[in-house]
Amino acid sequence: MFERKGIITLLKGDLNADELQMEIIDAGVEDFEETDENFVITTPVESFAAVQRKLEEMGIEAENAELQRIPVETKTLPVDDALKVLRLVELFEEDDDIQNVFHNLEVTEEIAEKMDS
Amino acid sequence: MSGHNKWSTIKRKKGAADAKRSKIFSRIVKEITVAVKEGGPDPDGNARLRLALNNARGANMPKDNIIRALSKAEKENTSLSEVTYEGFAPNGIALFIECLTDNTMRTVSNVRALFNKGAEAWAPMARWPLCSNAKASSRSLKEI
Repeated sequence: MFERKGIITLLKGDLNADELQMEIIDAGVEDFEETDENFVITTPVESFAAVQRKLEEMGIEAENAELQRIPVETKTLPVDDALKVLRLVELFEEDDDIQNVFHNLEVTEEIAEKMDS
Repeated sequence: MSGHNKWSTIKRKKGAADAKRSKIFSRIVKEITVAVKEGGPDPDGNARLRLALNNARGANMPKDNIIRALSKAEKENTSLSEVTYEGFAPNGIALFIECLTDNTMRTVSNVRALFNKGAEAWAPMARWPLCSNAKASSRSLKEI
């Protein structure tokens, strides 16, 4: 249900998406996404170190880089049900022994906005 | 897959609130501890530590906290185990829980309680203890 992937998050700064992608793709990048403030790079486990090294060589420091468990498929739920699940996820995350909680819920913009209230 | 990537960045932004920031910090401190125990306190020879320290900087963790974590990691005698659990939240959402703990019995009990709270089924998938090199294993044998 989950695959292990390297997830590297960069602050956009004045980095150019196309140039960056071209530079790092040979190091083994699987997916490249852009959000408002970040580039999010996905790598297979085997290339995680190589892509990090490549970014280091380019003088780019990642905001965060870690191995995560990514769901093979996500599941959509109505907003209220989704919020219940995310509240449970939060309870898990509050436990000191628990480092990471991964799930396969599709978190839409609407759900993300409602999470705060 | 793209939904999940956005989730992890959203999560970090929402982590601006105090309680969540301290949770983010304590996660990083644990990761620093594990990295130091695995490969020593020098980031140059320790990729896992280098990564943990980069993430600490990325999370804007104060230098004092980082220094404290490093010195505590060198002194600390308890051995941390990496354990994982899988189960289901309501509505069939799959959960994958990664733990770093010095007391797996406490962890199992807490995880079970949380699953009972809101989940339908669960299955512990305990992994071997973290310390795998000779020096570290003799340390954990002493504790038994």
